[in-house]
Amino acid sequence: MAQIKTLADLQAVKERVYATMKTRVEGFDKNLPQIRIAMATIGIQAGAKEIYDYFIDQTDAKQIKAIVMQTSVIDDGNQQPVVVKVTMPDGESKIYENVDKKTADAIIDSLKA
Amino acid sequence: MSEYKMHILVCGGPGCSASKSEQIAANLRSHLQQEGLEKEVNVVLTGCFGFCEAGPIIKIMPDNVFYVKVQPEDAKEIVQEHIIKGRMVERLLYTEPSNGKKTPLDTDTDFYKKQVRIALRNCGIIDPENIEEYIALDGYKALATCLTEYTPEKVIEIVSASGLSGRGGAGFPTGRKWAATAKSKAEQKYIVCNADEGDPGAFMDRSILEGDPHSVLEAMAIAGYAVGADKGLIYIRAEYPLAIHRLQIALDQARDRGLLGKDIFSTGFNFDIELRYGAGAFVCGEATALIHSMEGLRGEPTMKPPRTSDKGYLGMPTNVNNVETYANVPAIILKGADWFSSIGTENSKGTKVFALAGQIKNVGLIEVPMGITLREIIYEIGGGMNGGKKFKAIQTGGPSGGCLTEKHLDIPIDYKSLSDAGSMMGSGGMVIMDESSCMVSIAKFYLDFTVEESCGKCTPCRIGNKRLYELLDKITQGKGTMEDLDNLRNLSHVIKDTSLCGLGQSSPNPVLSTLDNFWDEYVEHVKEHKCRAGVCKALMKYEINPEVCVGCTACARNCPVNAIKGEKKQAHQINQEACIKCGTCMEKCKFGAISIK
Repeated sequence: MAQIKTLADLQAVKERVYATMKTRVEGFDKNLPQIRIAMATIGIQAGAKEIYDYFIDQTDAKQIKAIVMQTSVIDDGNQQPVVVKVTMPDGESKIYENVDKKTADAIIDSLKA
Repeated sequence: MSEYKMHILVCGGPGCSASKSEQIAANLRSHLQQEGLEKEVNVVLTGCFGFCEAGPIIKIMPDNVFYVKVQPEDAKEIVQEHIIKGRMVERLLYTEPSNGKKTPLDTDTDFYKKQVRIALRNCGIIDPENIEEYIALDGYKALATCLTEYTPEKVIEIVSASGLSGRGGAGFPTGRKWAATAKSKAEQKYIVCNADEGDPGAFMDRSILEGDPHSVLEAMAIAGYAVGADKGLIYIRAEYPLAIHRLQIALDQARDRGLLGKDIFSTGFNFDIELRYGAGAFVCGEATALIHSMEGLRGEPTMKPPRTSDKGYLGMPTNVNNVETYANVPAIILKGADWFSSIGTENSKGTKVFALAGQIKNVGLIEVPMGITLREIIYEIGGGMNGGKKFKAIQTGGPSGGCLTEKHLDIPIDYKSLSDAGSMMGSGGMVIMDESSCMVSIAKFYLDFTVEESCGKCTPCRIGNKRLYELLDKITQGKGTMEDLDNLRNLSHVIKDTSLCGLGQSSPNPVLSTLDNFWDEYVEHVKEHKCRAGVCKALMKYEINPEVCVGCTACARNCPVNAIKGEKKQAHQINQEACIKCGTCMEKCKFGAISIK
């Protein structure tokens, strides 16, 4: 292991490791939009896991600051089959149905602005 | 390494690991792997969460949901439901005793609401076996700051100004101790960490060492810089194998990263730490006895002066502080003396860790600001008495402390008010008792401990405590006299005044405080041969009410010593001479005919 010889070395380790622990220490950042993907049985069957992974990759790639997380049935469960709910920090939310990669891109791009 | 989406924190403290928390972590990992989630969800075995009553505990971040009394078999449901589907596992949520509601957020519980965590800041959050996680939460930054920006004098000034005082019991100001060792001139000085936690029921030092060992190592290095020592020693009891294991890992990792050893932070400062194992003798918590034990001599105290800051380990100036005291130091350096001294009371600054035990709902480890009242600790954090029973007494400070009562519940907890009330802060054990505890027996229990643990060097402690114990035993046998009660008090004062070290000087405290606060109970034992709590067996009498007894013979058949006689369908009688007071007859009687008199 590399020796830590200066305050800058220490700071570098801190920043690198803290990034991996941020969610553990701080919990959710309430100032970020939240993207919830419904992952109940039907959602998973219809490929929600793939869409979930796609959201994670794309928000990273496009450097969009958002919390991507899984949830169970969204609202009353009438929407089918891959459902995504986006909640903005001000509390406003919108539900998208039949989400595929194309819709996912549109959702991510809408958060860019 | 990419960012984990979720962290599952599993308590690896002593209580939870005894309830298979390591198995829970292993099961969680394997279920996550089956679901292909091991790169997104991180399972961390942390130090103690403190809420031992509800263990084993796991906490899921960032959701901030905590589950209690988790079994290894629950891992699958947690992964399937919470992690994959995002639904909380209702049945594993904590139910708040005060309102009966399920409480998913730990910060909302009565147990955690009033706590302020400084010494335990990282316990339950970081992986204690990974130095990088400690560094990520500003670990070793205080040491870097001291070495590169502050003079040793400045470090001592900050510690003094913070008002930090010894958390091992006596409460000596830490800054003054450091200054005294710094002033002593010698070629070699030592920094010692007293991890010989000996009070029955206390486990705060153990939890810190198991949950956040680096905080102690860092503080010892800071102390080394402040007083001019390049060698540290941790005296830890061999009964703490997990703490030793984690300390060893922490030492290896710190040396590996150059945070211990030669030329730390390229400043020319050298510091390294060795572990020394103690055999678990209570007297070795006393600084001079501890040092003799480390030197390979018998663990016996010596007269002070000379103080250890002048002549300590191998005759060299030595600074001895307790684990919890050290754990506070890095936070004080980083956040400043003003921040620390703003917490607590006029005379006692900062926080104190207490181990709650006894007949309350929430037992566990808590860290609270000085000045909180016993009532808040017992009824809010502790959740009140178990089984709806009535509060009787609280024992603080272990064998050196005393028993406080109802009338003391509203005094603010600090060093001075506890000792004014006849008890002491001690290392932080708190045993809460209800009406089923006999105070004479409690005093006897602590004396039994001191008699066993007295090193035997000085007469008042060796012989005096033994005589105290015999007097108490006589009283619990129903053979005590009023003169014995006077003798108890006189002898206690003699032992306190004439003993060599802190052990003997404080060992009569449980006797004196119970005499003061529960005088009636002593008198009852002596004059009426009665133990109101029903604890002293010699004073108990099982009796059969002939009007209720139907002569079913169940009691007579189950009595292990054949002390019950009587014809079938006739009222039975207990032969009091033969009775061993085991209580079996009362258990077996279906008619409630047997009672304790």
